Amino acid sequence: MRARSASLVLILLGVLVQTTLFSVGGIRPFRVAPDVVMVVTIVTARWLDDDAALLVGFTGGVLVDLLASSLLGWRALTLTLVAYMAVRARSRFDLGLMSGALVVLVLSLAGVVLLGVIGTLFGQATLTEPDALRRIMLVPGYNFVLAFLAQPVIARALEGRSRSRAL
Amino acid sequence: MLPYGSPRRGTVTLGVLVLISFLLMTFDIRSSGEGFIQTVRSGAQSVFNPFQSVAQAVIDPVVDAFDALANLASLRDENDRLRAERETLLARMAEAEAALVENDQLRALLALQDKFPDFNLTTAAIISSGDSFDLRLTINRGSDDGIVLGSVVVDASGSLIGFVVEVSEANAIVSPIIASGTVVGVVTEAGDPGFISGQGTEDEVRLEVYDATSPVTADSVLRTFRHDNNTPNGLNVAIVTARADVNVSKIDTNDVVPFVDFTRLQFVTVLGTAGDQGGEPVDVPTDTTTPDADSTSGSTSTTEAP
Repeated sequence: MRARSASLVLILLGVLVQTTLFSVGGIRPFRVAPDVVMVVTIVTARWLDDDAALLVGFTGGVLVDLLASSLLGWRALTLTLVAYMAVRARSRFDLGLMSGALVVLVLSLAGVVLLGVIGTLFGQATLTEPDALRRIMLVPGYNFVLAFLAQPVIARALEGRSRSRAL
Repeated sequence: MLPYGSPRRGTVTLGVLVLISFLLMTFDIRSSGEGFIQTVRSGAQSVFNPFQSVAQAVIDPVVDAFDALANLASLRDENDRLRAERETLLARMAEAEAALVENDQLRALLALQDKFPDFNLTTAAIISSGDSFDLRLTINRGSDDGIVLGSVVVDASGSLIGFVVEVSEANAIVSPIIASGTVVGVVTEAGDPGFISGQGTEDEVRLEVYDATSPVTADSVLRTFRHDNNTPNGLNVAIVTARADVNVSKIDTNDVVPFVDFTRLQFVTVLGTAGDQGGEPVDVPTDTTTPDADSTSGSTSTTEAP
C-alpha cells in the first residue's frame, strides 16, 4: 500500500515535470521532449504489483490528458498498455541498469507508436503531422537516456517501502 | 472474485482500464470537450496550477541555461550570418555613397554646359590614372565621340585639368597640367601674363612671369590666358600658396598648387574644339572657384576674373 502511495507521488511528480520542464517553451531538443510519465510508468512497474502498475500508468495518462487539454483517455489508454507491457517485461530489469534502460527504450518506442496510432484513430492526426517521425525516433532515445537517471531514483524511492521487490 | 496477485487479475484490470479509457475518449469526443469533461479538466488544472507555478519558478533558470547551451552553436551561426550580412550592407552603402558622389559630379559636369555655351562638351570617365612616372590620364571617350587632339579638359567646376594629347576611336589620353613638360599660358590677378609648367607631381606646379609688374600674393588664382585658340581664357589653373616678389621683372616660384585635386578626379569634361572658336580664345565667365579639400574637384569661392 505504501509502495502504491509512493508510486502515485512519483507519477504526480512526473506529470509536474512533464508539464513544466518539458512543455512547449521548456527543454525540447530538436523540438521533442522526453516522456517522463512514460519512463516513470515503465520503471515503477518493476516494483509494483500488476494492478498498481496499471493504475499508475492510467493515472499518469489521465492527468497528462487533463493538463495538456488533449483527448481525455488518449494517454491514459496508451500508458495503461505500456504499463501492462512493462509488467510483462519486469524481469528484464533485474539484469541491470543497461537492461532496464533497454526495456524503457523498447517500451517507449511501442508507447509512442501506440500513442500515434490511437491518436490518429481518434482524430488527433498524430501520425500525419510533419514531426511524427521525429517524435517516434527521438522520444524513445530521450527516454532511454532518462532511464539511467530514473531507475536509481525510483528504486531509492520505492525500495524502502517495498522490500519484497527490491533488488 | 480473483485473488490479489493473480495473473488474471492484472489482465482484468487492464481490460477495465482500457474500457474506461475508450469511454473517456468517446465521451470527450461526443461532448466536444465541454460539459462534465470541461469541468473535470478545469478542476484538475486548478489543482495543479499552484504546483506548476512553483515548479516553473524552479525550472525556468534550468530551462534558460539549457537554452543558452543548446543555442550556442546556432548563435554562432547567426553571428556569422549577421557579420556577413553586415559586410554586404557596408559594401552596398559604400557603393551607394560612391554613386551619390558620382551623381554630384555628373550634375556639376552637366552644369558646365551653361558655362561654356560655345563648346561641345563631352563628359568622360577616367578609366586609368597615371602613376608616379606617367601622370597622363586615359578617358573613355575618343574620336568616335568627337574628341580631337588638343582639346581642353576641365573638371566639374570648369577648372583646367589638361589637354588631349592622344586620341583613339574609343579612348583619349590627357596630359594634365601637372605632368612634366606641360606648359599653360596664365595670367596673374594683377594681369601679368606668365606660364605654369608641370613638375611631375600632383601638388606642385611652377609659375614663371617675365614681365611682372607686381608680386603674386598667397591664395591668388592663376587663370588661363591666351594659351591657344582652343583654350578659353579665365579657366582656373592654379593657386599661389605663398607670396612671390618680383625679382628684376620676373617672378619664378614653385609655391603654386594646381587648382584641381588630381587625387580625387573621376570624371572630366572635354571642351570640343570645333572650328567655331574663331581666331581668338573665348573668355569664360569667371565665377570661379578655389579648391576645397573636401571636394573632389573644387568648390565655389567667387573671385574676380583677370
